[in-house]
Amino acid sequence: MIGMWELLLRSRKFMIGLAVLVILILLGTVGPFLLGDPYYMDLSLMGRPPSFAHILGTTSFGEDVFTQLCSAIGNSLVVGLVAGGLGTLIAILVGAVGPYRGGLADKISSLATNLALVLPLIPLFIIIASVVRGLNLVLIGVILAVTSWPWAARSIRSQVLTLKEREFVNLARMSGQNSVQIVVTEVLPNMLAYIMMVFVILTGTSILAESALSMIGVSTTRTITLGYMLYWAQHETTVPFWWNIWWWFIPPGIVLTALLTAIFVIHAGMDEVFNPRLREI
Amino acid sequence: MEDTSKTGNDGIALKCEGLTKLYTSGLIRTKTVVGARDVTFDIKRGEIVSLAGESGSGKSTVARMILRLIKPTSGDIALNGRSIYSYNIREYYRQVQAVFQDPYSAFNPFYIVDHVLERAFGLREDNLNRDERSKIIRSTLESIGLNPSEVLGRYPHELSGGQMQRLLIGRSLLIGSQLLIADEPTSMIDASTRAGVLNLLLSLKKEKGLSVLFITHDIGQAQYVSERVIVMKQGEVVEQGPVDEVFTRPQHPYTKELLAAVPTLYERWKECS
Repeated sequence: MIGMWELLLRSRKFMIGLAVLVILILLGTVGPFLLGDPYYMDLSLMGRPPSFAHILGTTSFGEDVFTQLCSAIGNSLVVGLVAGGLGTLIAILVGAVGPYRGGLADKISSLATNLALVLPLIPLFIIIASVVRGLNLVLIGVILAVTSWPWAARSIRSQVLTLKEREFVNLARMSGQNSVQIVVTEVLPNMLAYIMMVFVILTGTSILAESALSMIGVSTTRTITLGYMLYWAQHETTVPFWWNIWWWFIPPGIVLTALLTAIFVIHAGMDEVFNPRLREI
Repeated sequence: MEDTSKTGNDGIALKCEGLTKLYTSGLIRTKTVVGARDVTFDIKRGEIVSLAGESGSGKSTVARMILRLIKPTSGDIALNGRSIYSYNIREYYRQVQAVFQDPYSAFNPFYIVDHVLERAFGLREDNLNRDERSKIIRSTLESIGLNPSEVLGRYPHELSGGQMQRLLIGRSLLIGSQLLIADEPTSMIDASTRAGVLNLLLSLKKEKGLSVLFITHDIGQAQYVSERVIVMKQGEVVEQGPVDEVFTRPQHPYTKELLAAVPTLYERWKECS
């Protein structure tokens, strides 16, 4: 297992993805502290193009685009991490413990997986957005997590089904361990790499899903995320300015693309190291 | 042997009676597969009993039922005169342990092999500290012919099959079990280390009075290690008795077939008709 981590550090894909991700994380965490209030509107500076004072120009409300961008990166990452972390946990819980116990527990977990798999995200959010007042980032992350875990639970389930037939599980049972202990100490460690990949990909897809929902205006409309910036940019620029104010919607678009590409490249790098069929040693 | 009078059950360690396992599949049109049917035998203390038969004859099914890994459809298994289900799990596994066929799957590739040995202490009643545990592990490994510095702290893939099987035997010694279920312990290891494992079982039997259910498809090994042999076919016991008797004067046609199938050195194999 130790060799794996070294291979990972030598993987070019993984390291390039990680470098881009680290830069974005720094922008998202350190940026907001240095740049001040992202919601501050200077009405004398409406729709100004990039300059030294405002690196990425200002919005049509006179807000600094770069300041907003940094907050947006941070907030989008928060949504992604909450959704990715929670989604991974649900996937492990449903995917591993259910099948391990077998019988009714397995049937229930399979049913839950299949039901959640067909849950349509956008209609769900339109309903939630119309009912719930004051959607915040964490709540959105939780809702995204609740809808994003099923495919991961399915593949974890299939892996647990093969791992639990291995003799070391019987040996652990004969050392007096119960099912939960066996899943946690014997089965899951063998899937650690896969679980990390699930976490990475769930984080990425959740960021994308949140942006998509923000863009159609059914996510939070009060906290800046990348989708929120795109939403206001397309909302405000279509009629009066359109191409004139390109510095408002191109940066979040590029950042979103870079962020997702970084995450997917990290995932691909991990896949090459952890998946024996793709490994080149 | 000496505590026979105390328990008063003729020195029988394990007794299986009418052990049956049926696998049913399908909801409406059920299909039944016989894992084992009406298997009856016993193992005395300090005795090695071989369970022989071809693949799919139900040997491993019987082993798994004895190890409480699967539940029998019907029949009784008694350990020291008590039903095995009357023991609690830890109490039971303190007395009955196993060595599996495939050493490479018996060790979790995620951990170094010490993990399996450390886990074994969870079954012991004494609470030993780290130093005492490692001392016991070392002396046990040495007693079964393993060099502790060669095997401890290593990952399963760095060891040979023979070393791993010895480690598993060592594990059951650490626990102090009286009955070892050895499910084809030598079939996946090198021929050169096979004799070592077999001799280890023999010496443990002699020194510690260990009872062993030795499951094999190799008649030669059965003859080498055991006093008694049970021959199974399609889930049923077709013949059992002392090794010499069964192998020199086989009664059942299947036993004759098995014996005829043993390849011998310096003799051309006959074409199968």
